[in-house]
Formats: sequence, C-alpha cells, structure tokens
Amino acid sequence: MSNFVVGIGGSGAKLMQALIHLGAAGMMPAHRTEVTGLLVDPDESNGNVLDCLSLEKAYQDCRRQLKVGKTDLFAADISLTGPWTPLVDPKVDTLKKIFHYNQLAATDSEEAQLMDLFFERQELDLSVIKGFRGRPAIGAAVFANSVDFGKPGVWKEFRSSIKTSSTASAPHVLFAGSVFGGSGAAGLPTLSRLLSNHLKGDVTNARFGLILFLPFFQFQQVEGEAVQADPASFPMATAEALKYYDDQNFLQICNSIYAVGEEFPAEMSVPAVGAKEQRNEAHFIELVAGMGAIRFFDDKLQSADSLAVAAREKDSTLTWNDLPTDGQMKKANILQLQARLQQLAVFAVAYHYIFYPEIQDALQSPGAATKGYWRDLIVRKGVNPQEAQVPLAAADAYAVLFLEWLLQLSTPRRGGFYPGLVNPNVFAKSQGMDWTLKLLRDFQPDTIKNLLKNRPKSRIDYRTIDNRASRANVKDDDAQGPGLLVRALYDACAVD
Amino acid sequence: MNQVVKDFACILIVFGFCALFVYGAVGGSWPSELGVQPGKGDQNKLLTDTEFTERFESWAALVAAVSLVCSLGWYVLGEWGPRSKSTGGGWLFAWIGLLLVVLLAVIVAFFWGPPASENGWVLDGFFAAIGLFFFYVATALFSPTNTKYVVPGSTVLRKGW
Repeated sequence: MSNFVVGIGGSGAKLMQALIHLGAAGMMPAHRTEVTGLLVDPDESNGNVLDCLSLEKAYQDCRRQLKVGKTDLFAADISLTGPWTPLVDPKVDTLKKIFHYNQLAATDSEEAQLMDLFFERQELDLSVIKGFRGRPAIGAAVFANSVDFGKPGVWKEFRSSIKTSSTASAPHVLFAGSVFGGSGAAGLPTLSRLLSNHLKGDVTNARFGLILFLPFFQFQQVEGEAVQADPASFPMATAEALKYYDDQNFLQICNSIYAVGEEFPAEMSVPAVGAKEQRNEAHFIELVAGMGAIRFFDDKLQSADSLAVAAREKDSTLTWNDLPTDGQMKKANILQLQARLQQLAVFAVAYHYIFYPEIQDALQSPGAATKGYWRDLIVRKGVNPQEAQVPLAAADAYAVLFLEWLLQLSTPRRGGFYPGLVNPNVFAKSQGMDWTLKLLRDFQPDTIKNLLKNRPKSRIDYRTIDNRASRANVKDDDAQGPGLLVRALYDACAVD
Repeated sequence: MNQVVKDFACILIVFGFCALFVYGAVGGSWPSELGVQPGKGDQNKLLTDTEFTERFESWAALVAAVSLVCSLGWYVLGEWGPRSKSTGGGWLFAWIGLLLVVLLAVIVAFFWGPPASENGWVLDGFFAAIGLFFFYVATALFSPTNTKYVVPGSTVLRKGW
C-alpha cells in the first residue's frame, strides 16, 4: 500500500527529509509504510535538494546493508526520484527562450502580447535555472508547459506507480511546498491540479493532499541579485496564495490540506537565491508538517469535512506534546508515536558517540574486544568483523544526519526560543546562534540522561543503555549479521 | 528477577560450594588422608590433630572470605563503577589486582597457616583452590554485564547469559 509525495522546491525537499527521518523512526502507519517520493525543482543543484538526496542515499544504505528484522528502525520503505526539473535544456532558461517569445513577437502574436501583459521585461529575461526567485507566475507557466504524463520520463513513471498501487488500495498522493516562495508556490497548485485531472479517468480511489508551508523563515537579501525573493513580501504572497487556493476550490480536489507556518520566522544562516548555496537549516515546522503527512497517509484516521487546528502551548518552545496528532488517536497511541522518535534520538546519540567508537576499536583489535554486545552478536554469531565494517559505518552516517536534523529543529535561529524536545547541549555546542555537533572527545556519556526533555516518565541513562546492549537477546530471525547488532543497540535505547 | 540479584545469588552459591569444600576437607580430614602430617606449633611443640584441623579450618575460612569479598568487590565495581571500554584493558588490570589480593591471602596462609612436617604442598594446594579457583569461577561466570568478558576465558565459559 503506497503513499506518494511530490516535494516541490526547497521546502518540499525539506519535508521529504523530515519524512525520511520519521520513516526511520517507524512512525509511518503500520499498514502503509511505503513512500514513493519525487522531488521537483528547476534548480537541480539546490542545496536542500542535494541534502535530501544524500539523506535518502544514507537511509537506503542502512536498509540495504542492515537486516534489522521486524522493528521500527528503518521500517519505512522509502524511494526517491528526481529532482525533476521543468527545464529540458539548461540553455533554454528564460521565459523568452522557453516560449520562443522573439519569434512570437516578430509575428505580433497574441501569445507574445499576453506575455508582455503578465510579465515584466526583467522577468521575461530572468534565468530560472536557480529557481523562480519568489515569482510563482513564472514558475506556473514553466511547469504547465513542461509536464507531460504521456511522454516517457519521471511523470509517466510516477503516474504509472500510482495507478498500479491503486489496484491494491487507495493511493495517497501528497504535494508539499511553500506558498510564499517561487518553486513551491508555482508548482503546488499547478502540479496537483494537472496530476489529479490526469488520474481522474482511471484512478478513482486516489486521495490527494497538500502541505502548504506558510512563512517560517526569512533571510537577508543576496547582494548582486536583481531579482530575488523578498521576505518582506512573504505575508502578502501567502495571503494571496491562500485566497487563490480557496477561489480555485482546492478543497474539492484535495481530501486534506495542511497549512503550517510560524509566527516568529527563523533567520537562515546563509542567504542564497539557489544552487548548492541554498541550504536552509531544518526547522521544527517541517517536523510538524511531517506529522500531518503521517496523518494523511493513515487511512484509518480519515474523517470527511473536518477542520483540525493544531498549535503549540508556548511560542517560546516546542515540546513532544505539541507535535500534532489526529483527534481520534488515543493517548497511549500518541505517546507510543512520540516514543519512536525519542528512541531514534537516543539511539542516534548513543550509536554515534558511544557504540560506534567502541565498534571501531573492536574492529581494530578484534581479539581484545570485551564488550558484551560485540562478543555475543558479532564474534559468537560468526560475523566477519571486516564485512560488518561498511554496514555499521552506514548506520553511523545516518545517525549523524539525523542528529544534524534534530539539532537544527531544536535550535531555530530566532530569539527567545528554548528547545523542548531534546537538550542539544548533550550532543552539540553553540557559538552564538550557530550550533555544531560535538566532537567525540567532547561528549560525556553520562549526559545522555538529559537528552529527552518534557517526557512524562523516568529518564533513560547511559548505564541502562550500556547494560541493555550487553545483555541483548534479540529474538527475531530476520535480524542478522551486523543488522542484529544494530537492532540490539537500538532496542537498548528504548524509552519507557 | 533483576540480573544483579541473580548474579549475586550465583556468586553466593559458588562460595556455598567453597564452604562445602572447606567443610568436607575439615570433616573428612582430607589433608591427613593425603599424607599431610602436622608440624611444630608456637612453642616448638608438635600440633595435635585437633589443633591442626582447627588452624586449617580458620585459615581456609579466611582465604575463602577474602576470595568472596574480592569477587563481590569485582561485581560492585563492574556494575556501579565506570563503564568498560571496548577492549576493557583497564578492567583487566583491576581484575588482576583483585586476583593478587586473593593470591596474597593464599601466600599468607602458606606461611602463617597450620605447619606441616610432611606434604605441606597439599595444604598449599587446598588454600590455592579455596582462594584462586573459586574467585576465578565466580568472576568468570558471574561478572556484571559491563565486564562480563574481561576475565580471561570468560568468552569461552559464558554462553547464553
């Protein structure tokens, strides 16, 4: 049973990253763990998109190389394609070139006159290779001109996957992007309408959803760029966009629309109009949006014509209880869902800072290794330590990416915010508003007991984790090789 | 049941066997059976069998007690002390240190224990068995999770717990 996500622009890619982490924590609905993602961005080398692709690769490496068995860890079957770009030829990168304006204008055609009417001269000559620079009108025209479901390629395959999965159960198709920028604002309404219209004929059971990112960040103006998104215009652009979604009856097209935003926008550390320099930090709004996606994927939680409003208790923080869940969920299930992300957080810290350095020591001198988990789950099980090296490194590579994400969620660059999910001081250090992961030598294992914040139950500490790891007894035949070790270490990090 | 309680119970059972061994040796006069003859005591006077047995019992109990205390000390240190690193080198030194304490008790028993005029080495063997053997068995089989594979040979002896 498949879920489909189209992540448009930088914000869409960042939602996809959040979904990969939530999938790694086993938070997808139990009966719908398959997610097929497609990234859409005119700027193929956008930093957020590249980060998302790196994360997906790290996640796939773990899933492919580690047989962890039936567990929440790496449970979601996520595949990602893209980024699909509407620009077929990088040299054909302006509205003028894409729509052959000069030829049209030479014949004084109506199309050329319409283009003159709707676009400024500067916009007609703007290269869109780095995105639409907060000009959704340009993007909408480019997207509508280039999506072709009949032509072999990404969209045809994506459409076929939806159709194929619809025979087993209702496919859930989610579009995500910002409404206040360029690519997302242009692509969300255009692509969702195009795809839903195209599927109307032969996929009758598809459910469509939108995640609309309202403003949640801002940035300084980029020097030397004549045309660029202006954060001051975000509120106005958002108001216009929401009015547009209403006017165009998107509630008739979509089964669910999630609008998420933040009153106190975070300052992005590096302003950029696009390319690899546009690497915006993760924000907790993406986690909130991810919770919306999980709700949308869960067909047991669908209720027609309902309005759900979620808000956090205090402006100055975000706690576990602020993560929105469906009103139908029981308290025990909500706590269970939260516990999965908490366990992944504990595991990532413990694995990167405690277990993996010990594993590396054990790999260097296998005969001298005395840690219980190593002897019992690698040596005694006959796993070749050298063959375990790469898969165990893959788990560490993912853990680092997860920790960076968690750190950025917990430390948005805005004043007056204090972390309410985890204590970043356990695994990171700050210099002003800039946070970086701690070096191994700076980490204090005993501080792991302070990692999770605002939890109702007892704390989990280093001694408990280490003892559990060394007493590990995984009763799961599907957990094998180095995967068995990672599974045991993950189980050792279970929160009460 | 809590693992710590289980392990403590197992260590006490090991030393229960140690006590049985001492009781059997004293009650069954095993040293005499193995040809040990009492030697001269404090005032250069030959010890009677009863005096010899009493002295042997006291020194055996002392060595067993030192061994038990060191075994429990090892457990307490492993369970509530610092966590072991991957190769457990420091912990091995700690274990060897405790082993030396037990060895010291055995050596003291050699020199200060009941004197033997013949086959004194049998007594030495008894003290070594009571001290070193039971210390090794208790620590190799029932070390805390943190240090369960630090004791040499424990990787072979410990299976499934």
